[in-house]
Amino acid sequence: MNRTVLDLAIGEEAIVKDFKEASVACKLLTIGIVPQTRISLIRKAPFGGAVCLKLGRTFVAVRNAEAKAIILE
Amino acid sequence: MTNNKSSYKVALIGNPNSGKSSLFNLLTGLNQKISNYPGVTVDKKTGAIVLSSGDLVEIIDFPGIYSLYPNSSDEKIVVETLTNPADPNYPDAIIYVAASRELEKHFLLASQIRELKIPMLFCMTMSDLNEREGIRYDLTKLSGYLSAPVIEVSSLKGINIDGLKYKLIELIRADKDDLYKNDYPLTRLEKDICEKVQQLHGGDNVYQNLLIAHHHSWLSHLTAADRIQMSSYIDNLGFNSTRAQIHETLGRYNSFTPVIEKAAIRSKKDRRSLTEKLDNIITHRIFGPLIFFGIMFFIFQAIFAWAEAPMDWIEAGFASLGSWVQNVLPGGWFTDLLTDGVLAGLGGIMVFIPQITILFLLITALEEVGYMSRAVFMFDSVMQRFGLNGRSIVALISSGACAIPAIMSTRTIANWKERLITILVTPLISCSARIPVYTVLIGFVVPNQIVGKFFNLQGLAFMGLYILSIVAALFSAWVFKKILRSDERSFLMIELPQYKQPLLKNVIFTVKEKVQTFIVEAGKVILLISIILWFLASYGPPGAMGEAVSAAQESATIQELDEPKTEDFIASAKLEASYAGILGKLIEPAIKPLGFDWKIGIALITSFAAREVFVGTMATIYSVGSSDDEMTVRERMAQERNPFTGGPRYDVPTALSLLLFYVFAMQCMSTLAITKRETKSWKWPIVQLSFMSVLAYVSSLIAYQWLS
Repeated sequence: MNRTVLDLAIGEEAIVKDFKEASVACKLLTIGIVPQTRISLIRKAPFGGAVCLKLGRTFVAVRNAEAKAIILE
Repeated sequence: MTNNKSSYKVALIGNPNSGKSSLFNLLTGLNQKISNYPGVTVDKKTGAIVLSSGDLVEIIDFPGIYSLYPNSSDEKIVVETLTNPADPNYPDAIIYVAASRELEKHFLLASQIRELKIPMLFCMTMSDLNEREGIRYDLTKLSGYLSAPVIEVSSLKGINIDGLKYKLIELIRADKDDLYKNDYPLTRLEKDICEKVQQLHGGDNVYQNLLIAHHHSWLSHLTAADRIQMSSYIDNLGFNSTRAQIHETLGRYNSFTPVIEKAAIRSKKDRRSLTEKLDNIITHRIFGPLIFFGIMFFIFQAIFAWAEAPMDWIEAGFASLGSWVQNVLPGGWFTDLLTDGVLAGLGGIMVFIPQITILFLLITALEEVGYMSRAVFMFDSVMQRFGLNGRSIVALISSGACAIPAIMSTRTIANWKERLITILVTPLISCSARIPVYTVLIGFVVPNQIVGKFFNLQGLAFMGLYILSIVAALFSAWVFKKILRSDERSFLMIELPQYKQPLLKNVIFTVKEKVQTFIVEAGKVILLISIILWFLASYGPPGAMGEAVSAAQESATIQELDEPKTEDFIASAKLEASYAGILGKLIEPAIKPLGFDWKIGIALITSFAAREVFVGTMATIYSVGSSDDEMTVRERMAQERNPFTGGPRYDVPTALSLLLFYVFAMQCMSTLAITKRETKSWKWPIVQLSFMSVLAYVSSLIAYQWLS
């Protein structure tokens, strides 16, 4: 069972391992979500559906579907 | 190395939120020009500067982009230009603008750009912020990897801008730049493909050819024949663009990440930034939405409260300009055209400038501070339920001012279906042009009284109309979501930038640019329509007009009317006999079930082009001459009797029906024109016009038939 970003508790940090879908991967790569980078889940959107992630010092919002495609170590 | 050209093109390229616009404003000052990229409506911002060497440089501010593998239509412009050396905007040199946080993300795009062999300068902005965060970089190491000069500037404080300009002189003199040595190693397959593209297309830059292969399906500078040949060749080789793109991107990260790691000088540990603390409240699950609605409420209050005085000045200004023209010029058709046609039409649009400016000012400030992307994040899932994208919220908010810039702002939505639905429903949101119509009509439906000590009943009805328009937009979006089919995957990926103090210069430039576009775009149409309207209302079939006038003259003499009353009486008889009157009578059968007569019909026809024309037309029809004073228009309308019942013409059912019509109807030529340009087909403006007309007609019909 692969843990994904969506399984993280709020505030928890982990390391990106791989991606589930190629089409999502190529988009995530361009904003700096790359294997071996540290990523943490900052918060969920008020009405759900999306999460805010922290990479180094930048914050990025992605939908749950994209977050679920990020596999963690 | 020296090439002597009279002027050079320099492109500003970088990620969104990298401080590109601030740097552009700082470099070019007031010498800015907005135009369009060939074939598309994406705004192209350019500015000319003269360097100390005497060289003239045209700086082009390109849309923000993360990689040369773009998603949305404004990002595609950058790739379109950079893969075509024959493009009129192809730069002689590039200033790569990077925010100095997270250099990895910037190096991805910068390393791609380097392979294009265009001379490049790597410019790191906001270095002051960086120092505060405790990270610095060894610039020589960065410069060594990129084989390009690296420079730090602060747009906020204007530090090192002269240094940047000085470097630029060297840069534009360089002919071709072959210094970069960290080229991405192509796979066997990619090499074959690049050679094939070169055979077909002729370009000798390897990376450019690779990009052309990846993007051949949408690059507009390729001929149809090239496209077909490339696609059959690429398919035969089994080239998977997505997989190749991932391979390339990862290869780049692996190449430069160690370099950046070595160049970084960290002085203290990361601590939780101010932005993170603020976001705990601003995007909080309960406070977040509350703050959002609070901001929206404030904006609408501001539009009404702050704009009132300047609107009065503009109205008064145009009124006195009109009477001045009438006094100075000799009477005749030309003066009439100028005062009743051109000046009345221009005044009608100019009067909205204060409201639009305030709205743009507040929206731009929200964007500059970094709030808009938070709203996108918070409401994405709500918007998705209606077939929209979180980014649609930016368009929906700005359409409270005007649908035109709102529709233009949808270019950031990558998914075509979501973007299309946003474009289609945006004009339903009550824009500032509906305000005068609502103001005139609301008095006939709701009495002006205070309820519950605080709330003005008419004010509440006003808000009700806005809420109704939002509900209608979301409902229509939901219907379109069910009808339209799309296999394109929808996604959201948005950076939440650090909160920053808005740069006054940036806000002023943006507002000035948007207001200007509004005046020019909307002004052109309104001017044309008011001239046509003036003609239709002033002339009729030969003979019929003269007969009507003499008949009216006679009956006025019999009724012993005084001179101004006689003039009013003749004017309305002339209107009835004019082409506009004939048109009104022609559509009367269709609008009778809604409670409208031919006079309202004329107003519907004239305000088809622009709804704000309604008040002016009403004023003419009810023979108040050309005065635009709303009180008198309303009084005249109140006096008007229904010939069949003897009761007031504007009773509650009629006025409500008319109000509903104006809430829903698509009465804006400029919006239709923008929809056509943005969707590149006539189909969608026609769909938009049809569904909004049906919505308007049916709701007016139900309201009138049910109440009367």
